[in-house]
Amino acid sequence: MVAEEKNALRLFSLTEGALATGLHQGMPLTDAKGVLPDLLTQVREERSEADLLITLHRWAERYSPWRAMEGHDALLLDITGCSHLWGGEAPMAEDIAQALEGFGFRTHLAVADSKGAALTAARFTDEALTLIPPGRSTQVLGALPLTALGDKAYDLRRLGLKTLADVAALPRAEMAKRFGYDLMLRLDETLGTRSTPVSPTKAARPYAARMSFPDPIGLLSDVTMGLEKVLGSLCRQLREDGRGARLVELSLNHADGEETVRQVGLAEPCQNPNLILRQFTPLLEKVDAGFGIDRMRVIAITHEGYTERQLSSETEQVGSDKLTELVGRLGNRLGFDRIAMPRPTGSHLPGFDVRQAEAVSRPETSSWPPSSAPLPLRLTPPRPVEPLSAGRPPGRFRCQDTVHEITHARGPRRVAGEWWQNDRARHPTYDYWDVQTRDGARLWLRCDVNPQGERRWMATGELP
Amino acid sequence: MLPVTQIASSQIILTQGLPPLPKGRIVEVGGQAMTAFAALAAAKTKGPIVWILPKEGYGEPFSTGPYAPGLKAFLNPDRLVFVWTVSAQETLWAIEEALRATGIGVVIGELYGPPSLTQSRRFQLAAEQGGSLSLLLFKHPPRTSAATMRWICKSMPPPNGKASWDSTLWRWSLKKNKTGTIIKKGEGGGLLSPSSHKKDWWVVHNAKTGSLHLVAAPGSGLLEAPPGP
Repeated sequence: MVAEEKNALRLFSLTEGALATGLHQGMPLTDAKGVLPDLLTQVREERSEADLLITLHRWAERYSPWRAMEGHDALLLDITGCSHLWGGEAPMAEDIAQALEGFGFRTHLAVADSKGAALTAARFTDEALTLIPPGRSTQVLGALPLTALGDKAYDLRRLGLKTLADVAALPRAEMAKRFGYDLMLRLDETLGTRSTPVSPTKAARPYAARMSFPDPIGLLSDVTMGLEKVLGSLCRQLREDGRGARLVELSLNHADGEETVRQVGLAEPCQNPNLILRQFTPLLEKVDAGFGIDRMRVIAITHEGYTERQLSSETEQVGSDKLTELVGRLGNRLGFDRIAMPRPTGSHLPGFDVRQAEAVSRPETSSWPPSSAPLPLRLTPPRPVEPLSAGRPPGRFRCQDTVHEITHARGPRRVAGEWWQNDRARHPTYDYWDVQTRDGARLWLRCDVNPQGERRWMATGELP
Repeated sequence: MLPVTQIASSQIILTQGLPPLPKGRIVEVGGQAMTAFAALAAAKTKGPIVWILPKEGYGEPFSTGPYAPGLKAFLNPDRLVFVWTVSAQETLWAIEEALRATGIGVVIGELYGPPSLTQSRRFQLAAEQGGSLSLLLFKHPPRTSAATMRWICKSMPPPNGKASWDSTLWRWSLKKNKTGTIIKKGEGGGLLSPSSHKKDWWVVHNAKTGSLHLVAAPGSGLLEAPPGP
């Protein structure tokens, strides 16, 4: 596994076979390749590692309710009052080790009377399982090298110190004076003489609200009123945590056991129950209540951080607010992919230089490249032009049953193809001409540049 | 008395001498140069431009939809919001919703076919609620409708036979107007007579400077406004 660190790809973790050949963690990949040319590597994926740790964190609930993640590689369990269920700390640790081995992980496990000592033992000892009896952490961990102290280790080594016990044996006041109080704190934490609490990771809170009715209801006004209350409660939860819903699901349980599920999307994080209700109203009208609805539940499936915005009197601000509402209403019926804002793609080929960004994702405002020549207001699919007289461009031509006569022409403007793209439609090079016809229209003609000298003319738009 | 120009927020003045476009009223625009007319009108407003159009060839490089890099010569393309519809029913609904929304700069609707009189009245009622500039672009022959104005825009060949690539000559004809009679200046001494209704304007747009001027009809010998620098 390799990862980029200090401007170089370095080995991040190694298999046992690789370790045996003399490679070590932190070695630049180029050096490692020199030692072992057929080394197989894979780039580290931090996201999936973090996901894995979260999964393990959830799994570990079977051992302790009080769990936390430390750094990117450690999982902490506070097993106070849990170990007797496994018959003591040692059998419990063995059980965990076996379970993890069953998943295919190689782990370092440590049990100690403080968080710092357990972390040090797990990270810096070679054994897969370390059990430190209560109050003995200094003696057990004292033999560990200074690397456990982090970045100060180098300076300490220059003093001739080798192990943690060496540092602990020196007068504290002198050490603190020379290396700072931080070092002493770090030493205490590492050895576990100073206890730091395990602060459990907060579980993600689902945003949902439900309501049951004593009798099934069927009238639209009743359902709307119920929904209003449920949404009010949902939005209160969202407001407490400063979140805004982006996708809300409503499930209606019918009296005959059936369930109707409807979803609405919102163009921006929303905490306003009325706005969400307005999106649901047209959907509710189509729901067949059957024998009546006896339970409804709303869940904010997707939610995002909500930033309170100050309403300003400027038209732009109010406009964007109102637009959000309109996009929501149109998108929930037509589909959000049909409401688009044009954005430049960076290509220079006419027709390929604009993409349609979904308005619901609130695309950033962009800088449009300046155009050197006038461009048509609408592009049309290329229509073949049949020349009726000679010339470049032809003086008279027929296009879609209309004969045009050219009074003036300007061009050619050559646009080279993008041969590096996969799309074959982008490859050819074209010449573009602006032509003025006798009846007033200005056409945008395209001419295929063909090595054989044969020209094919197309009309692709009308200039303003 | 000096002429006083009143810039009411309820109307859009494209250029001096042209009848202003009322907001909250349906304005129909037809003819081959209608997109340029809509773009010029949209440039005078603030806020998003909601453009509802049929989804023909949507997503393809050469769809018939408005082309943002070309529209850049008239307005900021970041303001554009396109709504693509697949059926006449969807189009009618989407246009009505957009018209009813407040805080939108301009709603530009393109229909599959001519709206019925009922539909056109519904548009008018929705536009009154929303109060934004409301333009309906039509390619079909016009039908009786509840629209307040109907413009036909045509592009014209350059007047003196010389190529003028930077300036464009259009002939904008007002085929229907419910906002009142427009008196042609200097004719009839202010008396109202049917012949004094002005219905045709020749307009020159300069792409470089973005200016818009009224000019005399070629061959009439009258010069209504200076052609500008």
